[in-house]
Amino acid sequence: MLSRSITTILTLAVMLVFASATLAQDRSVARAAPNPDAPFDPRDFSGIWERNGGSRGISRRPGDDTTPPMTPEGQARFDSYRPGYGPRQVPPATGNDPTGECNPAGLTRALLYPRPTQFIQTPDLLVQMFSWHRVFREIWTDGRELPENFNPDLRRWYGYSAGRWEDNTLVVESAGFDDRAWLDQNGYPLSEATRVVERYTRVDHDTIELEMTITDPLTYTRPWVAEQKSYRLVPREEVVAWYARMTDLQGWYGVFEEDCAPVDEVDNFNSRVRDPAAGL
Amino acid sequence: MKHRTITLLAVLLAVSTGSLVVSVPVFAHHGTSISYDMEKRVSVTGIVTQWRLTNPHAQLFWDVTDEDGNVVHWSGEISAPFHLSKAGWSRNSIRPGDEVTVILSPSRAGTPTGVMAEVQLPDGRTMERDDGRER
Repeated sequence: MLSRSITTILTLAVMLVFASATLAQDRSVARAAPNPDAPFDPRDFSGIWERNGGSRGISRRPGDDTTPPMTPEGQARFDSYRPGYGPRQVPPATGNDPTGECNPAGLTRALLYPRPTQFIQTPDLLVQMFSWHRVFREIWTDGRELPENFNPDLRRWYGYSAGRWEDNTLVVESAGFDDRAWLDQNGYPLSEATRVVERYTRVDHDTIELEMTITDPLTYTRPWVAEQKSYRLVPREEVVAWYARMTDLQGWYGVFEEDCAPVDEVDNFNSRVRDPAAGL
Repeated sequence: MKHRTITLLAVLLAVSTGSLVVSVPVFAHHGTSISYDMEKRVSVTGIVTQWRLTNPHAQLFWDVTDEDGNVVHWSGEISAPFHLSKAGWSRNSIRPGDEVTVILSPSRAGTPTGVMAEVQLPDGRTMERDDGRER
């Protein structure tokens, strides 16, 4: 009798936990089955990709031994940045992360943020359209090269990029950055001298690997080799399922809009939630 | 015997449901563990005044009235709209006047604000902070 009761009780408990887990999973759109062995063109990056490997930082752990020592100028700028993430994090209300007030993220942070990104490819141009902040970045593959120096008036948050193929790796060089952007969410600075080299390799149908090196002699004493990041190809049916769940829009495919706007809504969030959370 | 069985059942159910609350993963986000005491979980029930499914994080505002009629205005933040909407939540999922119970980690500053782990809605559904994320 006792063992039967216990069995019943345990069964009920397990069912309850299982039912809860099932309910929770019901709300998420399941990942489509991976298809790494499907045929693919290694020089075709078309599609919607999402980061599935690596951290949101240049280094896996901020300050680890892959992080280069800084120049005095770089260190001073680093010390003046108060990020909302990482070992130096402060309450956002007392920080100065540009994205905290919805200023642009800049190129490297857009690349590092784990949100879907659509790649649109033509013979002369690859465009990355980021859902996060709904911005784009163009990589010219028409043979042009970057100048050694940029007129400061032309510097911009997402820089200028030119790419070329080395075997089946797309090598992208970028420069001409606005130094108000941060390299990553952990508050590492960049300067107007920063140059970024990205190497994209589609290693199978489902996966692009990204190796990135930052060179900035004004800020860092040696080139900074980033942690390897990877992207997963999001199958069309999975994107369609996301839209159906998000908006009840059937059969839709495309990049998302995760815009931090209008500004007064962000101000409202900061003044009504983040400021009181910090006791301000 | 029957009494013992019921007690056992009650304990198991309590443990099972309790584990659902405490097993919600703590996600590292913007200053979250600095602004809020992630070791604490409190339950706050009140009447919604506003629900904002906006970037960078969705926000809920609700009022709690004590026996003497004093009103405390609570606020809370939860995940990015991208994740919540991917889980089917919308701008109309919570409406002013709804009575909700919010499980939250309160601000370290001691103010009536927190990062919300879950919002229990009048229709029996529960919005969770990890909704829409792959598990």
